[in-house]
Amino acid sequence: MRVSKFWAAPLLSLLALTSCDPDDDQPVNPQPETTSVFVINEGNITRSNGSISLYNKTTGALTPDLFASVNNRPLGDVVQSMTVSNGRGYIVVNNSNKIEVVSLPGFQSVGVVRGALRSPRYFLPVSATRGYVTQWGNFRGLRADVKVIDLNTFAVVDSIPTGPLPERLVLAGGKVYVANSGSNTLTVIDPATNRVSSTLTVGDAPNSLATDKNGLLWVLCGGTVAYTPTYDVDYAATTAGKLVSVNAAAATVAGTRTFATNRRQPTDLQINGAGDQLYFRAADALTYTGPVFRLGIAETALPVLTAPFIRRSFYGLGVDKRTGHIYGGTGTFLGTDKMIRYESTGTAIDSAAVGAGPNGFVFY
Amino acid sequence: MNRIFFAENLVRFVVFYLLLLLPGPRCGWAQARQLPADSVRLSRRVQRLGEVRVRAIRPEQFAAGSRRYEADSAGLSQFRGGTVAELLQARTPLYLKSYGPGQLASITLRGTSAQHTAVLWNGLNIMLPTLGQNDFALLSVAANTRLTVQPGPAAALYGSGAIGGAVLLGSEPDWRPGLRGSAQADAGSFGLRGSSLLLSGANPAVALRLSASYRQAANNYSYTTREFTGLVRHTLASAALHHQWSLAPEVAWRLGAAGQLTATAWLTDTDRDIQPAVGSADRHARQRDQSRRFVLVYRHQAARAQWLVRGAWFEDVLNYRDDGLLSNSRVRTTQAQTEYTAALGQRGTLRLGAEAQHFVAELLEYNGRKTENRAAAFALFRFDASPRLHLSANLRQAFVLRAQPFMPTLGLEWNVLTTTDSLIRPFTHSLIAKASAARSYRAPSLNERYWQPGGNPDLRPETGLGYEAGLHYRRRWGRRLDWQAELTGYRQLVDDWVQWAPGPDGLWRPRNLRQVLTQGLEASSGGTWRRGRHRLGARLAYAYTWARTHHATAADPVPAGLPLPYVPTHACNASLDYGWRRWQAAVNAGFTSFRYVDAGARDFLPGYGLLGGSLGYALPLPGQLRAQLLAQATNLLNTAYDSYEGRPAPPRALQLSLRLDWR
Repeated sequence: MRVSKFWAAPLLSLLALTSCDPDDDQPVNPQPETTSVFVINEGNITRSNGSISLYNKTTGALTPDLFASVNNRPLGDVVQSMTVSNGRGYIVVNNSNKIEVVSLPGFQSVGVVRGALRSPRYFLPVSATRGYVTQWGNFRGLRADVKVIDLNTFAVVDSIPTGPLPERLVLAGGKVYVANSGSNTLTVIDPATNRVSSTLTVGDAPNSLATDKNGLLWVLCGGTVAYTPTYDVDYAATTAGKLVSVNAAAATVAGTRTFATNRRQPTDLQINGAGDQLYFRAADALTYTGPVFRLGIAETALPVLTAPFIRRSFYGLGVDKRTGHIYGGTGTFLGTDKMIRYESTGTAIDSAAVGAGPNGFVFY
Repeated sequence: MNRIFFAENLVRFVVFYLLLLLPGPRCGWAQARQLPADSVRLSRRVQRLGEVRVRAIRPEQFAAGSRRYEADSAGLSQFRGGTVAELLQARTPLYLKSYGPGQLASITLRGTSAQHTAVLWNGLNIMLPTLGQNDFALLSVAANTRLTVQPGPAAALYGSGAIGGAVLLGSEPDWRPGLRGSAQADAGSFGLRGSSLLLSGANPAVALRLSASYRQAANNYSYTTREFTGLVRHTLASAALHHQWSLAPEVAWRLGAAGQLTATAWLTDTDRDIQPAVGSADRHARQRDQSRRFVLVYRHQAARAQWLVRGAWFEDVLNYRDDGLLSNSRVRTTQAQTEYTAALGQRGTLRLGAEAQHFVAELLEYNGRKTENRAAAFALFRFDASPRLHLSANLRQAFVLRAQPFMPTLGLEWNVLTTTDSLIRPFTHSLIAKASAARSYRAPSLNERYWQPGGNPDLRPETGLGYEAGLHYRRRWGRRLDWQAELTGYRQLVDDWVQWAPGPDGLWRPRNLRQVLTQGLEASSGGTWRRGRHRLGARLAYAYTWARTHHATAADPVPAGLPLPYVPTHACNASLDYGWRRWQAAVNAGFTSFRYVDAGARDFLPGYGLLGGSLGYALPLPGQLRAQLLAQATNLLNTAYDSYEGRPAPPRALQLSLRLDWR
């Protein structure tokens, strides 16, 4: 019939247009242990575009969205952190209220922890069968706590109350230390009983922790940022950051040093492979980005926050314990961001384009 | 000139469509240009001024050489219960990114962003001054009797924001004597309920009009996501349109033989959920938008001149809240406009005018209350050099904070080939060549200037320089078949493009970061055919759009050369209307190619095609009543797609409407 021929051409043209979509397939690199860096790309909140980029240290090859490439589905909204344990990766997806579990090195999805998670932040395996995740709760009255997860069933099996806004947590001296960034305390948990054994007062807004080669626990406190009613920072009421050392076995504060300024909030404490050099960022209260500082564990004076080790402002920081290289992630959140690698001396090596908002690096 | 622009296969593609001799439509979008109308109307100007009826010379008269789409009364009538966003999506190849039915919808015209389309209502800019743009889902069709889209830079005519183009809405009093009314009820899939009412009445001295519409929708449709356990079917939650109503009363008085005073109000109130992205935690976001717009117009028509004064007061409320955030805003805008139009000799028309705007914004995020003033003076000139050659030259001098942008526009229309319509020889065909060049600008929005943190009071206005040229061909075979086709190419360079991005200190703030080049082709073709009681109309429109950063300043975190997000390269729309006796059937199809979702140009939303249709039946009732039943279906093929990232669009949906018209 004449009419059908008449329409066939335009319809075929439409089909041709449909096939104009860019190529979706991204190469998935083989990932031998010791050469892989997982870049945690937080993504833009409410856009569900968080991702993990795989960077190969040897070849420099990069897979932009490893999870989606392997598993053919998006990772989720606000990828907060990733922890590797026992051949598995635990990816905490904050605004999707879940933890995605993948097997390594292939990154195949093996399970999801959903349970009653509300704004989960950081994950810590405490035994072969149990993991802890800090979570902030929500604005509808659900309080902040640590959820205990069965690593075989991925079910939430217990809750442990913490202080407000619990952030990173570590296992040190046989205890789990949780940094309550909404207060000036650490919650100390006995992982054998899943119960709080004590609460330790440190500086305002503790956010990150690291254990040095002597077993001393370092706690970085950002200081409490106060805001004016019009969302400016009120520096008259903002407290300065502190670096606190804790005797982990005894759960007692060993020493406290206060930074000279409250204009920057120290955060993101990392330690090198030898366990004798601390690295952190001094973030701006509005942008959460800041330059990188270094401090030897034996140094008595804190760095001056106007004289950085690496001047460039980063949103994420990582230290490769094998090579000593320092990794910084920019925080433009404009679709793609950059990760930049530095020698342990602070000299830039190279950079690569990753996803939006790289907030951390996992060296596998 | 970019080679991609003239890529061989593309040209072939376009030529193919131009060669399609589609028997065609008087359906939704007739070309505004009825060939002899303009020249005839203007040459009869002197006689027409003597009429009692006071008629305005519309600003479009001064836009010679520009492309234009006009929604006809059938289109406005079909979408009476809906929004301007729905009408444009169904009837044009324009791309609106939308969160879903009744949800946030913003437009992109000729590759520009949502802030680069000026929306005017009865001659006044109604953009939300805080955001500097319009949510097209808040603009109900019912309140308006005309809707025109003029793509391309037209700031000399329409002021700030008309870089990508302008959408012109408005109402006109109905002077037909007597009372008439119309009521409509709608019901559809996913909890859609709506109703609308139109009442009008006139005597020789006063004309009244009232339009009201109401709508609600649950939007609880299903969508599928791929999860750990496989494909999982979900029901959309937190996406309801709780209520949306619009009320637009209008009173017009004739004052003497030459004067007319018109008072019009447009009140809208919308309460809706803002749906979370798929995979994101539900923050129970909800937004209340209220606009109150009042305009008073006095128009005086003297023998060879007319003058007009407009005063307007708008109040826009946008209150947003979710589980963790509360943001309330209220902006009051006072506007005044005056213009004087006179004939210059037998061939020229000159319009001189001035306008002023005063904004008062109250937002916590602005550190309290902020005010801003803007003003502009303009001169518009149209010269009908001969019945076949029309020229326009327009100037606008604007005065905004820290800048005085100056915008000239030149336009030309030339009837290359025509047969005049006369008693001896009927009209058979015409070919019109058109060209225009224009400078355009956009004053920064109040958010861009005052939002804390980040607002940048030192922003310069964006300025554009654009050109377009096109051909319009129309042919008629007897009284039965009428066909036309139009092809337009354009190119525009927008400088000082404002972008929110992190500055050297990492703080997000809007800055004049880049120069953007947009260029493209717009092709359309359509026609109507009548025989006995059969009426057939068809229309096909295609847009090719190329929009990229042309030059990036050193401070721009995004490199030059990347395509702009949410600009589809190809967009296509086709419709077929058929009428027989009391029946009316329509089919429409659209295609939108892939769109990148952010500045990095890596993640994208795949292209999609949609098919829709409608079937109507008109039933005469006793007295002066008439009933009309209309069934409409959208997304007939049940295509799963996202218009906006992470917001699944509705599947196949049905809507039934019953209308009662009195007189």
